[in-house]
Amino acid sequence: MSDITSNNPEPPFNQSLSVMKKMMKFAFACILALGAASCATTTPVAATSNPVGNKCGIAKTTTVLSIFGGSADCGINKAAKNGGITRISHVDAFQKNYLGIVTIYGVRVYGE
Amino acid sequence: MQAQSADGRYISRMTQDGTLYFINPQKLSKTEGIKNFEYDMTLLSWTDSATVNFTFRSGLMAKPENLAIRSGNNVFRCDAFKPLFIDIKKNKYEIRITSRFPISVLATILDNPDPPIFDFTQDGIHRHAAYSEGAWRKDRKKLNDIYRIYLYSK
Repeated sequence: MSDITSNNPEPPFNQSLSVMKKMMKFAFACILALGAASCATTTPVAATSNPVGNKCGIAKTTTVLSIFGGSADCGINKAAKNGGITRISHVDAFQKNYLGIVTIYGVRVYGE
Repeated sequence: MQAQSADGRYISRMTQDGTLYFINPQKLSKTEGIKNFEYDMTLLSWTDSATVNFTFRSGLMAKPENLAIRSGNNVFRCDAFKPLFIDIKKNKYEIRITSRFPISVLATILDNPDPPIFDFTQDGIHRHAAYSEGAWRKDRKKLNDIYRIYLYSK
């Protein structure tokens, strides 16, 4: 009976190619997991006794890796200006996160 | 009828008079003579008009004139528009305008597969901002879903 087991080791190049393929699959799986972890939240900031009104204004800023960007005005004043609102009813803050890389922060103002 | 495509594109708010629908700001990439054009829209279930607010950056500190939205062969002129504010941003002016269009105009625009174009002049100089074809194809579907929800709540 002939020994069919090959004693020839895998060439080094094929070994590193195989490792690289596994690493790429793992990286892809991580990206998918991060993508599934992307989320959006809205939280209350303030409410007044003013009527709800018929206007809405929004102000936001975008950051990348919390390092780049984020210099836009996303305050209540800017959102009220954007909506033409002079009497604020209430304010919500929101945050959207994409892949853990890009984050959008902002406020939404309601009023008249 | 699926409504998932419009998720995140708008928010709705109950008021004493009915429902307020705020369509989140959308940047238009194809601009001429201006930069950073972004518009948002407010629909009120108890009225038959849409408030369209838009912002753009321009080197000219001049109020827009002759505002219209072009959709295919249709041109919808707007007489009810006015500036909300003007700010200085770096070396340009950021101008915010509020305008009002009848809801029938929105319906006609959404019916048309051609991307709508915001048209106006500043000191006689023509400016415009428009969707790209692909962006309009995607956003039109979402806006149609929102419009159907708005009609449902009337």
